[in-house]
Amino acid sequence: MKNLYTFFKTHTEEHGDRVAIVFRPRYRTFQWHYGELAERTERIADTLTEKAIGPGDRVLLYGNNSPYWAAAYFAILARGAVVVPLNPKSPPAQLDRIAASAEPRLLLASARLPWPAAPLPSLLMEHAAEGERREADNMPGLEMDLKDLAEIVYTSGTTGDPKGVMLTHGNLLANVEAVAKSTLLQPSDHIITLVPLFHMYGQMTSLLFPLRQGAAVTYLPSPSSRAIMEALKYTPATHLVAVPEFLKTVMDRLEARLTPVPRWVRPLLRERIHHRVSETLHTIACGGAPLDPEIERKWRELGFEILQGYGLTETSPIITSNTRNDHRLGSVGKPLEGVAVRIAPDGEILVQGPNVMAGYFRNETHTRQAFENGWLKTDDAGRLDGDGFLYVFGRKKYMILGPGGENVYPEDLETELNKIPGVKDSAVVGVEESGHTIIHAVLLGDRCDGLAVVEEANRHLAPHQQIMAWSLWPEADFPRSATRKVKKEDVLRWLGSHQAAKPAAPSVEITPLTRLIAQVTRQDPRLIHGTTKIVGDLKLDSLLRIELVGRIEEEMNITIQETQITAQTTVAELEEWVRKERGRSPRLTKYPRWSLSPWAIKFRFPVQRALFLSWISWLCPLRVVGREHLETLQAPVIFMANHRSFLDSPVAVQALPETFRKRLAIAAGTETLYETFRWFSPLADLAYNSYPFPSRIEENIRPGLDYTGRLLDDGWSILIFPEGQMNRIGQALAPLKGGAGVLAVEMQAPVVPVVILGTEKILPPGYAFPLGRRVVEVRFGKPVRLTRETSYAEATRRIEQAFRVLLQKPGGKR
Amino acid sequence: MPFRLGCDIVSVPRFRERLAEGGEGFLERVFQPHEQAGASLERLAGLFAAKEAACKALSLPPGSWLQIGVTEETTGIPRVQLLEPQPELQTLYVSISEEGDYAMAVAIATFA
Repeated sequence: MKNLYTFFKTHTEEHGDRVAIVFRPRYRTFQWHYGELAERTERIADTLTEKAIGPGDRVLLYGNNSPYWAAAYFAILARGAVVVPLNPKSPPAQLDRIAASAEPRLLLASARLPWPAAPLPSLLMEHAAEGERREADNMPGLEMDLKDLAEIVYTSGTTGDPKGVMLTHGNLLANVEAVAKSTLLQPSDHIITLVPLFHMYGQMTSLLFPLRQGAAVTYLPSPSSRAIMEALKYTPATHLVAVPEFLKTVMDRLEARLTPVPRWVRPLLRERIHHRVSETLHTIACGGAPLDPEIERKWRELGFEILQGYGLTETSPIITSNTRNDHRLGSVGKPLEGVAVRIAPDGEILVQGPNVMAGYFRNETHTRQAFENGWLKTDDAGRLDGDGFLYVFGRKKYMILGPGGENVYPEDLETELNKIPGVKDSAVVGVEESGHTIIHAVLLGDRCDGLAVVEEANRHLAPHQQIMAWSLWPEADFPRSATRKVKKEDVLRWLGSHQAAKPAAPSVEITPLTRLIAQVTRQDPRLIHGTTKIVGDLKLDSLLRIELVGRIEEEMNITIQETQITAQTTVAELEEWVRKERGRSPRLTKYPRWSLSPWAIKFRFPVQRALFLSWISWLCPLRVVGREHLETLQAPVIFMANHRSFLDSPVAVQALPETFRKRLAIAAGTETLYETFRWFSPLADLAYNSYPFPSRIEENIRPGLDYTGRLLDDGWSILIFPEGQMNRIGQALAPLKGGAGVLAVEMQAPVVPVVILGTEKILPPGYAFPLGRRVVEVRFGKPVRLTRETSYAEATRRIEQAFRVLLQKPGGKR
Repeated sequence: MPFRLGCDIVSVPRFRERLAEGGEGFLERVFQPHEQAGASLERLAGLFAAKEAACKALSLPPGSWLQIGVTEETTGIPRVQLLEPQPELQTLYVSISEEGDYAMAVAIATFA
């Protein structure tokens, strides 16, 4: 293959109709086929042409994982330009330094993420992807050479000089071809990736490799445990790309659940547990940090193939990988084809191959230091066994892997600490504590106030770099090597024995919730007790409250509102609430409910006909007006109807054309159907596929939106009564609830207003028996389509307006 | 005419940190889609201050962020739209200001 853009063109044409990327940014899922990815890429490339971006120009790429990121990446390559991917969590000063080093012509940023650093000429990738498509020019990307630069990836330098790893088209193509020779991935496979695309590991495993194979990838806008578990549940994923911390966290949870189960029974449950994680998943690729062999063994026991690999940004990135047939526990596998690995006399891993970088951008000194006789020095220690399997002892020796998979370079934190008066020197290390990495600073100085120093340093550090614990070095100087480098092995050893001997505070039980509260409020978890008031004692302001409820939701897999944490709420009260909420079943968010099971669907129409339609069609003969508005309409659709009688649901359903009636769900108010008339809800669920939708302002609307989004994703149309409850004001329409606008904007489905006239005279509110037989008129209005640029209130107003217009219409034909 | 004031000040660097940490989930909880798309960091911090100020003026419970939508008139004057009507409320105005590391907002609500 001549270059990466030719690679992209060839494989998108080859796999045109196959699903490329699945994405669920808020409540709706959308997917792009490879053909669509190519089309959006060309649109962005056209916009880049207008901006005169050409070969050799650097373009910064800024955003979280999304299909637009992928299209923007290839659009930059289409112009023969150089991609500079950025970590959205980087502090503004670091982004400024990278920009100063890379001298970009343009910033291609996500509309979903504000750019925090100094202004640059920029474009929003989502907007550029929607632009007019011109006749495809011959993009200069097709003419690039293997030795031309494709990408500059900055690896370090929060406070020091950033190092830009230069990767050529040849580097990346060599690596993707080598990966393809060692790893099996079929076009029918589906990957869920938890690794960011700005990271080379994410880019290779979750963009370039699946593109080559024609497999689908699900990108998560924010890979929290909740999002991952949901994605595993709703996606037919066969492969997962993860970091070790995720495998450890999930395994700990599974084991905690198994604690009450006798040991001898557990092996019998393996298949069940496997299916609980996912029914389709069989392979987990793991990298970015060392994986505990014990964790790997447990996952393999459950029947998952764990493919651990090893790599560096400088090697595009994969050097070695275990494979399905060639695997050794605890090892990172054998070198990929074409890659040579050797161990230096001092134990350092050295690498040679077509995937090794061209050097550091405009940094001769670092480039020279990185190589020894043509071999790349990895800075890692390791050994090769007799069969050629590599074992890594210390990855980037003391690099710390943040909870989100970000690299934390101790040197950056030390530079920040050493600036503070009173600090002579410092050593930052990652300490494992109950399965989590604690960033610990050991300080050297006379009369140095550790807490004040750490607080000051944290003010200048990124969220993922925050120092969580500190100690004062007890001697006059750190142990140092001949070149005066601090011997961190000795510091770590001292820390291990020192901490064991002198715990910093009386031991307190640290629960997952107290740990979370401590992380959000930046407090020592050992100082948080049951009686601690979350708002007052821990200084939880409105910004932190949002973060805390978000993280409780994402990491504990429950839904919580901010109102749950008042000025008086204690940690114990919140613990109790979380405990109750976790035990609550079934949850609204569980999709699909029983009413969507094959047997419920099978019995739905016979039950509907026998119990409702027979007498309703006699009691309320229908006059339907406006059916022509539905003729060209594609499902899914949101039908919104006025509500003045219990007869409205069956009447509205009956008035619908069969295409919509066959695949319809009714969003019913939790207050009425699921509380006041709870006894009736199973029948309504069975006969009308109803489901609970929050109808009161104090209820959390998000589970309802989530469920509705999934229904629409699966092609079900929705019927909802947007007045919130039955209208008893004596007029045809009560003011709509704001939820109507929220639903229309968030769901991005056409809204059809439905006016029902006459049911209120047959069975008015408060009546148990009909007053008599009469004609009911059902009017369908023109579909209302609302863009995401519309505010919720404005959307509600426009829907209400559509109702008013429909109410004024004279009656139509029977 | 009874009225109530609300005000709020947001540190933009701190807001950026929380946004980076909370990611898409933070945006989803606080901003309506029309408010986020392509908005600068300072603008989002200003909108956040406006929502907090409006919550204070209306005594809304914590977490009412999505109840308040802020749009901008062609003149650049922010306009607040409430998702649900508030009893007795007649008018609600906000004013937003952004300067350097800070964004602040004042809201005034008048009641019948």
